[in-house]
Amino acid sequence: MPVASCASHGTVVMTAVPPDLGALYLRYGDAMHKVAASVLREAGRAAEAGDAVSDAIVSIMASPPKGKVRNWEAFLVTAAKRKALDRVRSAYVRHAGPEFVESAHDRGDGTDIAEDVAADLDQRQRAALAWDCLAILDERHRRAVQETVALERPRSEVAAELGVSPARVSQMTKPALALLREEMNRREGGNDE
Amino acid sequence: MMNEEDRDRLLAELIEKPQEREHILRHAEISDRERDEIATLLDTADLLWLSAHGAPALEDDPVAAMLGLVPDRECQLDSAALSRARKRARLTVSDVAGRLRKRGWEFETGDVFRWETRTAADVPPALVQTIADVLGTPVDELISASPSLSAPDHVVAARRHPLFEQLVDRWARVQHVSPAVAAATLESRMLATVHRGEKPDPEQLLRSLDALIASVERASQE
Repeated sequence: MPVASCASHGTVVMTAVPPDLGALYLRYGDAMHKVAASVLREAGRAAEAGDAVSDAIVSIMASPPKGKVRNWEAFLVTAAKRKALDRVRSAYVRHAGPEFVESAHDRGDGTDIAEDVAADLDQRQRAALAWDCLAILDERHRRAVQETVALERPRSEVAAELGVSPARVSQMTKPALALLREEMNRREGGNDE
Repeated sequence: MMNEEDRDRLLAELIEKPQEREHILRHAEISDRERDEIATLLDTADLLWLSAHGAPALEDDPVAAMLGLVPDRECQLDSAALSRARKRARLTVSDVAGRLRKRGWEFETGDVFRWETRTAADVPPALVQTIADVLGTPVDELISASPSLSAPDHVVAARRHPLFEQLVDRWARVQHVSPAVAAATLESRMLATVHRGEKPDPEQLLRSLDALIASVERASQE
């Protein structure tokens, strides 16, 4: 008999039979992608985030956890993070040789990854807030910052669409980010009535 | 010292080249106050970037496809069959919803009721499999196949290839799912690859599926 239960805050707490991986992915897949993308971004390989998540899921499909998993979100996010770090590590090996890797990516094998999960969750919540705050910008500033910063489109392309120079897009980005930050601070300060 | 234009350019460069930030900032001639201001703006920029780098839409996500999370017309839950199987299992719609929640799915009684009385077209193959498990009914007795919407030619060709059936059997075995669910899952996986903009030929699609299945089989045996 399946005996998993869902806590009110969304964490699936297990007592015996694990929940379906598909159901877990629907709930935590977004977090897995974000964490993998963040790790890979540092090596200029954010586009491989989907592959890292796929590696993690295949690995879990093939070797499901044997013991109880008390926090599936932490488990899945950590799995995605490890696979992303594997990719960063192998990229460094290809470019710089194995001796470089050890010093640059100690945390790939460290136990501190699990401890980072809470910090990752905080980052994702703040990221969602940043996205919500885009609504306070006027259309042109929102597009400038959304396209160039969030979606990483070339400034020249965005500039052409907005009918301005690339330099003007850079000028628009700064006050837009400053306004976003101000709004985030206001909301995080509990003043969002 | 930098003027306003230089600072705008610096910020744009730091946003565009996140992996080079340390190097760029080390050589930037800016005051401590400007450095703090840039750090704050970059933090905000990074949060925005993060917000846009979550999971792709289900139909474009090969991982979701691999997990059987993309609804498939050839493995569609049949409303009347669900209702019959549920009654045969002597469960209420509320019981079914409760058992699905215990398996991690976020559904309420109203969802199960809707599948039985209106439409179940949005129920993906993985959930069909779980419903079958919960009701103790073979998947084949719960589904009806509607004609597929037009798929790209190379996906159709791969689906018709004799090797595809072998792959379906292997995936069904290693994943402990029915052949219908396995076939729908593998087809979705091929479609998601195509949606990502790749244009593999049928043989490449099948080789890619073979590699995926082999990796799960290999790890399962270890």
